[in-house]
Amino acid sequence: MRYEDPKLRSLLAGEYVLGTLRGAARRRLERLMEQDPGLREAVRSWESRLAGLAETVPEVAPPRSVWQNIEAQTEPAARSRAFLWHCLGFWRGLALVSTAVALALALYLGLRPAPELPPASVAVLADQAAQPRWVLTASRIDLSRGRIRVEVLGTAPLPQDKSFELWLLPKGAAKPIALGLLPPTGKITLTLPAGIVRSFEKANTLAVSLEPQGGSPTGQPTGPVLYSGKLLVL
Amino acid sequence: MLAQLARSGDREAFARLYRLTAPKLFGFALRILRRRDLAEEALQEAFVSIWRHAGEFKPEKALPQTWLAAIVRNRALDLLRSRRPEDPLDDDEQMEALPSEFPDPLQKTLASREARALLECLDQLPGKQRQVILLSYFHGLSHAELAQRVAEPLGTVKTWIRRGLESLKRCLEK
Repeated sequence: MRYEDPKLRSLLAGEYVLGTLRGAARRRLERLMEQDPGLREAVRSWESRLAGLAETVPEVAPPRSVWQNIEAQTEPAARSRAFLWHCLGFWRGLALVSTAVALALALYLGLRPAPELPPASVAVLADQAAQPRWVLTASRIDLSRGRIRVEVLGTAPLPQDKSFELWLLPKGAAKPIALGLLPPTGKITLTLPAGIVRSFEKANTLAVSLEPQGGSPTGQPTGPVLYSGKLLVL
Repeated sequence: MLAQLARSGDREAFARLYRLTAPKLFGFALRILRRRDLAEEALQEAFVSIWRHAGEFKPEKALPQTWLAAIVRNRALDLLRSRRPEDPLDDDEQMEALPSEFPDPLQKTLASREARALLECLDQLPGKQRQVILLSYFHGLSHAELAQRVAEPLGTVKTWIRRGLESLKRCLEK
């Protein structure tokens, strides 16, 4: 390639900006741009020429949550909304049974870095003795992409040949909805089946049952529900 | 305002910049991504990037609007390209969606001189050349994808892009 040819340089710069220059050729141009100010200038010129197209669209007001998320991600850590995460009252609001449990949870979570994005939905699933075991969170972006994040506090005792399965209990509906299998320890991000997210936002309870390995064969819980908790939409 | 932002990490200036520019940039992201949730994500990531890289913006080298739009476009195209392949854009929708004029007369009055000049020059291009340029600008299509979309040979599409860009450049230099 004769990059000294100004006509060719201009064309490559134009295709670079347009996006039709791909793969190895694109990477080569990027490397050359690092050393060649003339080439960088050619790319800038094309960006200026084509920028007018960005003006041909109508204005659309973005939702307030976008700005809130931007703020959360650009605020210095000390002043971030993570404070909410550490606040005892917040955990009491999740309707955990006892203050002692809420306190233990707040201290446990207080030891870790706050999540990058404020959660839009939170649930804490506890056992029959009100010991918290699973923390589920999803930011607004997570929900829009059908994701929920699950973290196990410590290790959930899991017998051999069994699996934990997570269920969503929509308000009023008879049937629990399967959301996926959970590991006995650590973290996992579940991708919800399409269309479930809307149910997620209208439900108020989540539960974990003990199923045969690989999950319920029937699509409904077949084993005992060991953990449950209320879903809080922030 | 961007320069001030860069120097001082001024959150007031950043908030003001967002208030002034976000609606247009959101509209732009929507045009590229066609889905609100993805456009919100692109806009959000773009502004976080803008905050973090404000120090790199050189006012003598580019207009702020150009820099902002380029960041939003890059984020949007990244998101578009990482989408699941089972979700392709519907062909007919896509053809209609290409803007080559301003949405309304008021927008035209408010638009920059550069934007108006660009649209006039685009207008003078043969239809096919204009089409492939707009398709790649707003949908990030490669030569091969363009060739498939317009059902023409790869070589033809490459020629249209090349000629279209050359004509635009000549026209804008006048």
